[in-house]
Amino acid sequence: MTASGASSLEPAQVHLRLYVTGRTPAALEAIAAVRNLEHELRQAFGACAIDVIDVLDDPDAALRDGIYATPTILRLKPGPARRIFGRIGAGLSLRDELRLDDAASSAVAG
Amino acid sequence: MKKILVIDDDDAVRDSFIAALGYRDYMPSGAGSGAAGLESAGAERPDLVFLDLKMPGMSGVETLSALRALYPDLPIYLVTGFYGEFLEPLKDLRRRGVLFELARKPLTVAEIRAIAEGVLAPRDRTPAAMTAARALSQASH
Repeated sequence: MTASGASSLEPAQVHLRLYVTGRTPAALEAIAAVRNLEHELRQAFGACAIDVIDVLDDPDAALRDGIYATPTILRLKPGPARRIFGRIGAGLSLRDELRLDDAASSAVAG
Repeated sequence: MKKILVIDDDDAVRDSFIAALGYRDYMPSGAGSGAAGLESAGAERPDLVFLDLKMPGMSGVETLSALRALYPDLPIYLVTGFYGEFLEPLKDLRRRGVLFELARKPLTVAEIRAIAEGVLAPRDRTPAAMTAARALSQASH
């Protein structure tokens, strides 16, 4: 972390992918949580990439990413990959659950 | 007690789900057909349903539609392979606004439990409960 409090990660070094099925209550809750998080991440880390994929539209992607149920959010960057399944955004901070700051610190430390 | 209904025509699969879910305050039960599952759900509302997509007689899609008509807010996981041809009928359901979640077959015990925990956990989760749920989620990965 720099003196200003912002991460020293390169732009677009945060990549999250949310898998949902349609617009169930859990899917809507998860989508709202990641959109709120996106704003927070842009403030902290600069550019970030967030994908929202409906398994019905891209089942191959879900298979490749090892998704076993919806909704699931996947932290692709910073690595290593981390998956969170279930009531995404309904409890603790999604940023904390994804351990973005821990992973970012590790990435910077190299 | 949380009632979990497993609807699958395969005895071994159904039994494996029930064995996996026989812990905590869960009360799993099984039905070997869509019709039997509908009858069971109609008699007593479950808290969560695992529903096989491909079944003889009343199909998973037909069963899902009937369950939705009974219980619009019931959490229902359709268990199927994530292959395009299996998912085509589900796109039609989505177009019609019928809601469901998907789970990929086959599921491990840890994955079955993670789904149940994720759906049935109380909304206001304490940090301790969240830590346990997170550990369970990570164990399946």
